[in-house]
Amino acid sequence: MAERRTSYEIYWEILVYCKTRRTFTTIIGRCDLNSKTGQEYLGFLVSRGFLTVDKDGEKVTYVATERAAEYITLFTQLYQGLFDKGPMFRL
Amino acid sequence: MTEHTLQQFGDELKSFRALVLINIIFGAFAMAFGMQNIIATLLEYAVGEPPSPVLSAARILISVTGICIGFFWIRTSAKISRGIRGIRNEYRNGAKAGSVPAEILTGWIVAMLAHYRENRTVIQRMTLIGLAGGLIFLALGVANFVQGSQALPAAPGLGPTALAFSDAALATAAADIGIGLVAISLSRRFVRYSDVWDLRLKQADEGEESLKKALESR
Repeated sequence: MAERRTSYEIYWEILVYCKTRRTFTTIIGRCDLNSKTGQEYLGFLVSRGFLTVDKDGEKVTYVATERAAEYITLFTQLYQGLFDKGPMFRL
Repeated sequence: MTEHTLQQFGDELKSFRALVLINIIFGAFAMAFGMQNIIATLLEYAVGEPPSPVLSAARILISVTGICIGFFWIRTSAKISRGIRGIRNEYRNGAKAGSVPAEILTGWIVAMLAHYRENRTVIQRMTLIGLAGGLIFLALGVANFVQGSQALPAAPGLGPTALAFSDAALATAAADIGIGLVAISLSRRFVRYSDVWDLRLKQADEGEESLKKALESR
């Protein structure tokens, strides 16, 4: 499904999934990303302060920061608003 | 907002699924009536009371086109139906459980948008094919009606077999016209579905600016 989503939708999925601590492998598995694009998305979110990286020996995990909550709220309002405003489809 | 949005989302999902299922049923009808028309035309030759060759050729050509359209209809509808199956199952399980968290609902909306992005061209093609199929079946119905009506004034001179064919032609005409009208109606509903989702895609695109700002501000 990766190619049908916009990058903003993928960022949102990663941030929601990383509300609890996650490894790289589980993130790309859950968000349907390949390793290369997964690195790019996670790298961007870390660089912007939406995710923090924890290293415990060999194990690297990611967790969403408070800034992520702002993005998640904005995204949720915008997307739920698509169904609250405008015409609906009825058979 | 979530409860209201959930209700809207669920109603729309049900409507869309019903539309796709009706489409599959009418695709099957289109194929069945196309075949029936071909068999009826060939039987008229078999009993030795053939209609005009031009009319027969036109009926067979239109019927074959109807069968092809019916096949395309079923195949495409099944593909679209498969695409929303996962979302529908999750929605049903969520609705049974009572409340659905805002993030889960948003995830379904993202999935539906993604589904529409992927199938937008196919849905628009179905709209056109549905309209074309509807017009073809209307034409087939009119051809059968003309053929059946032409036999009636001469009915006293015709044998029982010809009378039966006249009745069959009129019954087929009614069925063909019915299928044609439903196909055109389905096509119009797909247009409405596309209009609604095109507007949502546009609104989502417009909202990307604020998401971009939120991501890039420090």
